[in-house]
Amino acid sequence: MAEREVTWGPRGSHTLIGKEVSRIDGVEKASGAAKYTNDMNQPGTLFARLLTCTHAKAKVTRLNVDKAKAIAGVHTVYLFKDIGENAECNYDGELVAAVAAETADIAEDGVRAIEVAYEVLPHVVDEQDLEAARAAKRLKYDDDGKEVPLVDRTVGDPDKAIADADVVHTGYYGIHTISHMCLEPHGAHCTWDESGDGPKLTARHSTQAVSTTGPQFASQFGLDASDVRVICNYIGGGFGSKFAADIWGWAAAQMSKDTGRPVRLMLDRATELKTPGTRPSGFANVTVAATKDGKITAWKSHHWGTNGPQGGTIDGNQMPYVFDPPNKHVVSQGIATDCGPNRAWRAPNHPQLCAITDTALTDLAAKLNMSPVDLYKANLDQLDDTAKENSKLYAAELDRAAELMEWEKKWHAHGKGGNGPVKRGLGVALHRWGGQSVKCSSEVRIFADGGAQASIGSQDLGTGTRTVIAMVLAETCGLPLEKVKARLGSNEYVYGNPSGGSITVGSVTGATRRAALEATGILFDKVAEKYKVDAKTLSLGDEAVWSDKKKVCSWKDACRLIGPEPITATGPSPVADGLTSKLVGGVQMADVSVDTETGVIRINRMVAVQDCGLVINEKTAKSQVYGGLIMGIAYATNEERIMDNNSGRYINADMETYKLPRIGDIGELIVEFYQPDSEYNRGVVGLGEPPVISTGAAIANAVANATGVRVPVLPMTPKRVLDALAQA
Amino acid sequence: MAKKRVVTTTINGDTHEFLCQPRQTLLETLRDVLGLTGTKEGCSNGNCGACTVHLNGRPVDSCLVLGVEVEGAEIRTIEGVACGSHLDEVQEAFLEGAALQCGICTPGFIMQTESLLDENPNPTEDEIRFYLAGNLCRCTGYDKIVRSVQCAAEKRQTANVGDH
Amino acid sequence: MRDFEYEAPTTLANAIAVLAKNNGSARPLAGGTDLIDHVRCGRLEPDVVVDVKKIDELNVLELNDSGLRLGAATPCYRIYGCPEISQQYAALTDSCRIIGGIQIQSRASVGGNICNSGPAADSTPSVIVLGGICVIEGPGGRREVPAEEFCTGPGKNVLKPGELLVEIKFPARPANSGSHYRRFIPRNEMDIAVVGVGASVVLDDSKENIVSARVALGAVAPTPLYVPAVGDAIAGQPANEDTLRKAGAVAKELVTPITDMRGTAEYRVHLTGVLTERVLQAAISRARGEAICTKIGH
Repeated sequence: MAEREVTWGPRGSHTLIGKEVSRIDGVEKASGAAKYTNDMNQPGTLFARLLTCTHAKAKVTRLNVDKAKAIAGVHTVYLFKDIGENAECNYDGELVAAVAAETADIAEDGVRAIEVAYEVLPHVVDEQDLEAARAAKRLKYDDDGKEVPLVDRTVGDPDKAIADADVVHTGYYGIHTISHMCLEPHGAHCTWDESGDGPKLTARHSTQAVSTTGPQFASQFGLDASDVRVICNYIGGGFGSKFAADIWGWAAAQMSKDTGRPVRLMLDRATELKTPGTRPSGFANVTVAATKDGKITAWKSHHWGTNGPQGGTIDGNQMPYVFDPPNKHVVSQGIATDCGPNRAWRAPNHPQLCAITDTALTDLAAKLNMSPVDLYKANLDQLDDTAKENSKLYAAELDRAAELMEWEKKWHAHGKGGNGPVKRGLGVALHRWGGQSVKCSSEVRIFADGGAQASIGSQDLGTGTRTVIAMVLAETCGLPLEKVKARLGSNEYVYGNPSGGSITVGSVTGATRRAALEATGILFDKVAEKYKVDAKTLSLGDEAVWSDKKKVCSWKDACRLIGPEPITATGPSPVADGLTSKLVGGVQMADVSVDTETGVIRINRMVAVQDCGLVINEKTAKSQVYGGLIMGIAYATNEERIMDNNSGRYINADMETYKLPRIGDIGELIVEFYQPDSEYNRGVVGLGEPPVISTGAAIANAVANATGVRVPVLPMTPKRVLDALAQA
Repeated sequence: MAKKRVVTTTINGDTHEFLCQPRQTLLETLRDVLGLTGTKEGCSNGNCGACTVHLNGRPVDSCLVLGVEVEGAEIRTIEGVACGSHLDEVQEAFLEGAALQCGICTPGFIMQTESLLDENPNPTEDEIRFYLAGNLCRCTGYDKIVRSVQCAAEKRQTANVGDH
Repeated sequence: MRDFEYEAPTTLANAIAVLAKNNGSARPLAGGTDLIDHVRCGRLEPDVVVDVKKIDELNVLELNDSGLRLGAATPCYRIYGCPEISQQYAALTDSCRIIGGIQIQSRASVGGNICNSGPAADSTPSVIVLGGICVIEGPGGRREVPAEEFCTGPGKNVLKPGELLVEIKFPARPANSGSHYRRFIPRNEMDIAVVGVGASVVLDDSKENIVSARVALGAVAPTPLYVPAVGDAIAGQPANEDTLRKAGAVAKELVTPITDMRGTAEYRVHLTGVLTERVLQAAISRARGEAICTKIGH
């Protein structure tokens, strides 16, 4: 077989790769034709509604569904809880029962008709008050009942280094819990059908993982994995929270099995915020020491926070973030709260680690009377193991971001943000991420009629996965984009990766490139034989096969040689062949105004400079960065879960009081990729998570620079800004 | 239980007659009775704009309209914007401008932009941000939406100049 | 949503008859932007929803020499769509432009806003400071209530079972007058007011002195709060910073806010002072024929 060289080819040689290409499923999305799980309403579909616990901690003492079942139009009631063994509810919003009925309104009637009573138990939902948690015995203890930290890690001699330092800064920092707030809630449309020889269960599931949720449905119902089909062609956001079949997915399947009707069960908006996971909070007392030149010599931090009933918090082992001074001591404690559980949230741990590290470093810089950019540069020779490879990139990215921000022109010393009530300031922060490709296959087929398709059991979260697969296939086959097909969103295709951890673009493009190179290699053999040319000289482009710049035949003519059995090749990921790589970094800067009379913050401009190796599609890649910025602006300014200590309830679980930024709240966003040839040569690296990491810290630092006062805890709501100003 | 009512209305130029209960919202009626699922459900309380449709020429959150209220009304939904797979200027601008990602907020943003440009063919950036404030997006970054609305306005004006 | 019947009378008499017959278990539906959400969450459980949008009297929008007549079901967009109203009754149109987003304003009415009687209602302070009179019709006939006396508690008002708010009447605006409404919210748009302030002022011919002023506050008391003491404190005073500061200080003394997730009582008292000054300044600017700025810090 003609072996094609496994590379992306020289930079600048492509017709598609690296260009700004509009997403290929955009017409469906812009016209309303795209069908999401929440749009599934096949004939006969029953609609489900949920009864959830209204207490932080309680035992179900009575649960009678007879009246619900008696309502005309109600078909079945599913119990997540029961009295007896499975009676305990551990947070507000925990699922108790589901009712499936002819219409959603009738299902709601059914939910209202369920008789439920609870024995209410004492609760703790305060995630910030460590002493209160200690008093309530909500920390971690050894067998003797002695309090033990989750992390207690010492490197070098931090106390001595602090004593010897020219400058020492101590401060308190924190960041509250947030939810994912997917615009399409979690849920599934399940059809149980044992009549034919097809799969017994079809789950049209709002999922980031079509290939791995099938077995989770199967094992729950004692089915073979091959009996479950999972479909997700479009999904309205996941952000790390949609990897599992989930108990509500199982409930939908069970109710379909029980009724013989398709059942659609989507979480309602309040339950969506409360139940399928949150991002853990983190608070810390920090001491950081440096020489007068800004070289960080020691870091000490004591962390606490919550991730819900498990009693974890953010990962103290990764503190401080990015920078790795020679002396450090980190202690971390988790509070077990009666709040909803946690789930991966875009770049798990990193936004919180950054919001605690980079804020302390900016305050240290202020104490040194240095610009934080200079402080960062003074420490690029002491980065942690994952960030180390990026040290040169950071320097270049800091410079480029400063240019785009007009940093030199706008920069002023700490607290010199103007004389009127509105103060203006600048902030900076930086981040790192992995983004390495994982296990994934792509099956490429080339047909005798010239058709080419790649199929993968992965999914497109809106990131443009479908589009980059098509681009790679089209590029490799020398075809225009519209002449190839990219199929995904079903576990009936070859195994594809779950979409999380910024692993997707490398996984699917690497696998597709490898498969397409193999498939076209097979085609080259046929062309070589027919046209008497050396297969090694062949290449593809402009819908034709070329030999040393001479056209041999058209793509269509070449494909006519294939016969009835299409050429099929399956490409694997990951392979260490240079197509993909890992580790990215980025720098973000913020320019904000703060109204010191009302406490309100307005973003004037955000700059994001990001490296991510070889960019396949500049347009969809940039969109990831824009999206990261608004999520960062959200958790920096107003987005938080608000727990009421008295009732133990999540009291802002709706879109009015759970405050995401609106289109008037985001200011000007400037996004640029840092991509010299060295980046191109690294191959493809994932990008989804990194742009959300340093946004919060950059904005917090800009507020501190504007006002001269650190607002210690994110989000910096107007009230927290005024409180910080009053205490200063 | 309240009897179902017969409601006659014009949707995207076609007359529709359907049955709905007084308590069913226009959103539920469009999506689950008429199968017009292009109009998306987001918050159910008028905060996200994903369910925006035009009711007698005005943009409304269809989650806050009863199905029975639209008797005799003219409704336009996202399904009535494109002609087959031929997108209009606004849709085209959103697609080319990468103003859509996951796509759940997109139909609402497009319907709201259609209203904006009908009312104000040449909006300033502030006017765009103000008019679209009732629409929430979690993943696109908004900036691309502003640029795409500006681009759609230009395209539409150019097209209109060509018409005369 | 819970089950209910739907009626859509086309005459005032029929509407009142339906409301009276159901003796408190019927709710009027104008724009529905609050009512439908309240029913959805179970805060209200009406047996009958009475759509009042088809009644002519409730859709009146008439501006003449004697003032403004505003039908209770007239949606916000029609109000701010009228340049003369925006010019003369600026506080009212300020309110109408920020109640929800544009989609909400296509349906929501000032009459509905006042009848829901939320303490944070954005249009009620404006109606109060512009001297609005609520015209109510019921089985017992017609009566008129000044806007500041309409709300009696959170979600409560003077309407008796069977009564319907028909219109709000506003007197003509005097010369040299200006008005403004603003609320404090954490985002730029679409939040419920943490504090809202409406103000109207009349200046003397020199436009340097305040002849009279009316101020009303939102979200700082069980009802939208008319605070005549603020107007009294600045009437006859020069329109300058000292006077505004005094107004802010007086307003802060009069409020009795609660602490909730939108803000603490203390924070609301503070904002009352800041906003009262800023809103009065804007009303004065308008009385002088100057444009106002609502960007951060203004």
